[in-house]
Formats: sequence, structure tokens, C-alpha cells
Amino acid sequence: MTEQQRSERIRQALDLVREAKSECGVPMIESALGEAERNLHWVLWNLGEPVELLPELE
Amino acid sequence: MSKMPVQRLSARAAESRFWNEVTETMPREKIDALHVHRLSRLVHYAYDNSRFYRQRFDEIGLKPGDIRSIEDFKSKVPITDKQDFIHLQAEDPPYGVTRAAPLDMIAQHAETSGTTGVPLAIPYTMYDTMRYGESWCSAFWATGIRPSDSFYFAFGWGNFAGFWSAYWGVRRFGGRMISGGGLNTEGHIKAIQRLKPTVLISTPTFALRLAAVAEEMGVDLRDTSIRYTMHAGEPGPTALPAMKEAICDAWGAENAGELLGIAEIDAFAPSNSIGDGVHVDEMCVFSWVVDPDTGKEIAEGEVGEHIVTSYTNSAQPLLNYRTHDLVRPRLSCPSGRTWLKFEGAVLGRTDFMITLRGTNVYPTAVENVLGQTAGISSNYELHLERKDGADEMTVKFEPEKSVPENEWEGLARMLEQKIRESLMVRIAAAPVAPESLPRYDLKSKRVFDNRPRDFRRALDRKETP
Repeated sequence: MTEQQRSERIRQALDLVREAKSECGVPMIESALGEAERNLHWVLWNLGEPVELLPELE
Repeated sequence: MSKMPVQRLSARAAESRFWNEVTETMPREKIDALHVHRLSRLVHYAYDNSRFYRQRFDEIGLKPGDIRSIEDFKSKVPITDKQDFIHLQAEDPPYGVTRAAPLDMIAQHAETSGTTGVPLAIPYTMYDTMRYGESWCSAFWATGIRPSDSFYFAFGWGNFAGFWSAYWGVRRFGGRMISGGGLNTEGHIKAIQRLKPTVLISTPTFALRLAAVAEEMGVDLRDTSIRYTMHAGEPGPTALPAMKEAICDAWGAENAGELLGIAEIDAFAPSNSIGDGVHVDEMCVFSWVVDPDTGKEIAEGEVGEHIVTSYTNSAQPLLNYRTHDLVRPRLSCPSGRTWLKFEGAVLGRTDFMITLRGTNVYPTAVENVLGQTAGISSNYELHLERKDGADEMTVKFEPEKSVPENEWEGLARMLEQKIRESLMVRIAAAPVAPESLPRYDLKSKRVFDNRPRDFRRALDRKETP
């Protein structure tokens, strides 16, 4: 897998996490998925991707 | 016997020279392109969310869209200083107009030590705390530490950010975390013997203090499980090779590393695998170095003041922030890291700050307490010594002539207490007879640095102010 492919997969994962989190209604699940969202954003940031400053701003 | 399969990292990752080779060896052009994008987004974020920055930018007619290059950022975004923020926080505590995230997003509060007078309050979001730990991981890895190691924190937990960021780093790194908070020095040594950690996390002077107490206890620390030591909070093994040698010798450690950080900015500069400097984690901060007198950027290899901008404190953004740290920047390093390097870490301070047992102390702050204490004249000296592996400061003062000699010692104890309450650090006070200290026609010599040369930061080895 190339770096570009890896970044693309992580972007897809981020979209999936956001979709699962959206209006989930379960505090535990929303909170844990929020952490997953931050981690995936941080991964993209540290792969040198030009993402927004915070996941909430994407 | 546990049958749980353990695979922390793949074989390829385990053999990596770096915690994150992608960014730690990223070509300069790509790093700078990322800075342009990130600085631009940060300026927008600060303007949109912080009343402080909106007001500052509006005052000078700066629009976020004006920042399209690194040069724009350096030349157009105002330089800020801690005193700006302390002043504004005091008007509307705890964070005032400097806060940029909603209060219910603040996940942790910390404070600077307040040695310049008033502590700076530091808010962190959950994401901020996560990101603050990352640079520690780069330092751990470069020092030889791996996630299978276990970390002993010889640190009293409080509102000081210092080792909280190390804790966040160990959580990220995946190591075993052991807190020694609350124990006295003997207790730390016994806990290390009992719990068998492999990494000591402490200020460098406390590592040597532990060694001195262990010797009194008849304990040879070279027989303990510690293999690495990691330090922050004051000049450490990178800045002071003699300190590194003393620590490694006392603990029988294979290596000692450090991380340069500023509580309100980030834990941002991990030592490298060579041990000759720290590198700014350019995924977390943007740094440049100026001549403190002219404000002009200096050339690589010259010494100047570090100006830093944090990407990782979204709760309280700090842009073009004066650190008062004097550094020598390098753009290449045999370690292979491409992040901006500060050769020898921090070489000195523009304001001659002294670090005592992990607490930053400014001579001017001590002088302020002296000036506010009845019975003490304006004739005094601050003496810095190195005793039992730690820096110690003593204030020699002349009591007012009206104070009887039998009250001098009581006055000294009162002064020590006032200093402890105001600056949160223990400094000894010693009265001397009125008229006994030397007088100066021009600027008085107040600070006497009597520490061995090898235990001073490079620029403090020169004549003190």
C-alpha cells in the first residue's frame, strides 16, 4: 500500500466513523467514536496531509 | 500463565529508527509547505475564536487571508509574550479573552509556576492533551526506549503541566505507567526497587538527588531495573553533558534523554538519538529564531531567541510567542531528523531565568519579594550554588540599620517564607551586617553564579548579569 493509498483509506475510515457517530444517541458510543475521530485526524496530520486544524472544522 | 497474544508493533515498525519516520525525516520543502497551510488555518481559527487575536488583528488591520506564506506569518502576525496573556487573564479569570474553545470543551487545566509573579492559566481540550504527548514518544524512541518499557514518574502531580504531558506520551506510546506521586525521596527509591520500572521520568536534578539519598540508604542504583532516564523541566542531559554523565553513571543507565517544552505551548522538542540537541516537532509547532535586540531573523548557526507557534493548543492559541530561550538553530543533523534542531538545547535565557528543582525562578521576581519585605534594605545579592546534585539559591541581604541584630535571623526566616509563598520555591536567606556588601557606582551586581561551569547552560557560563 502506498502512502497515498493509506491516507485515502484513513479518510474513508474517518468518514465511516463520523457517519456512525452522527445522531447515535448513545453517550458511550458517541464518546468513543469521538476519540476515534480525533485519532484518525491526528494520523492524517502526521502523514503530512493538509487537513483542517481540528476534526470539527473538516 | 497468560496466553494473550502480544504484538504491539509489526516487525518492520519495531525496527524503525524513528517513532514517525514519515514526518521526522520529511524533506524541508514539504515541511514548509505544510507550515504554510497550517499557519494559514491557525490564523483563521485564532481570529474566529479568540477575542484576543480578533482585537489584536483588527487593531493593526490584519485579515486572516493576508497570511499566504511563512514570510507573511513572520512579518505580519504580532509577536506575543506571556505577560500579555497573564495581564488579560487577571482581568477576567481564569482564561479571559485568550480562550478560543468553549469552556465545556476544556478537558484539563494547568498553570505555569508563577515565578514571574502571577501564574499563566493553561486550558487544554481533550484533543490538545492527546497531541501534547506525541513529541515525548519521539524522544523515547530516539533514546532507545520501546513500548515494552515501564515508566516510573518521580513527580508530584499538581497543576504543573511538565510531566502531565509525559504521562500523555506514555499513554500514547503504550508503556507501563507507574506513578510515584506523593512519595518522599526514600519512598521513590523503595518503589523503584519493588516495582522494577525500566525508565525514570524526573527533572535531571531530582535524578541526582535520588542518587544522593540512595547512597545514604546504602542502595546502589546501578543494581536497580532502570535502564533509561528521561527528563524535562530544567536544563538536562542534552544541554549539560556533565549532567548526562553523572545521571547515567549514578543509575547505570544506557542512555538519558530529554524533552524541551513550554507548558502553555506544547512538549515540543525531543532529544535526538545522538544526544547533541533537541529537534522541534514541526508537526506540533512552527519555530523561528530572532535576534532578541533587533527582532530580525538570524541565520542558521547563530544564537537567537526562539519564537514559537503552537498547532496543538486549540483551547488557547499562541502565535509568534516569545520563549526568551536562546538557541542555536540547525537545519540538518547526522541523526537523520529533518526537524529544526537546537544544538545543545537551550543555551541561555534572554531574562536570565534560573531553574531550581524544576521551578523557573527569575532574579527579578526574588528582588520583588525583597523589595516588599519590611526591614530589608535595598542591598542584597543572589548567590547560585550547586549542592548535593541540585542548584540552590541563597539571598544575602542587609537588614535595615534600625533592625536590632538579634532580630536578623527572624527576618531571614520571614523572608524565606514570603519567597516560598510567592514563588513556590525554597530559597535560603542569610542576613549580613549593614554596609558589608559591596556598593557599585553604576549597575549593581546582584546575581553571582557559583555553579561549576559544566552545570550551567552554555550562555550562562559567561559572566552573569
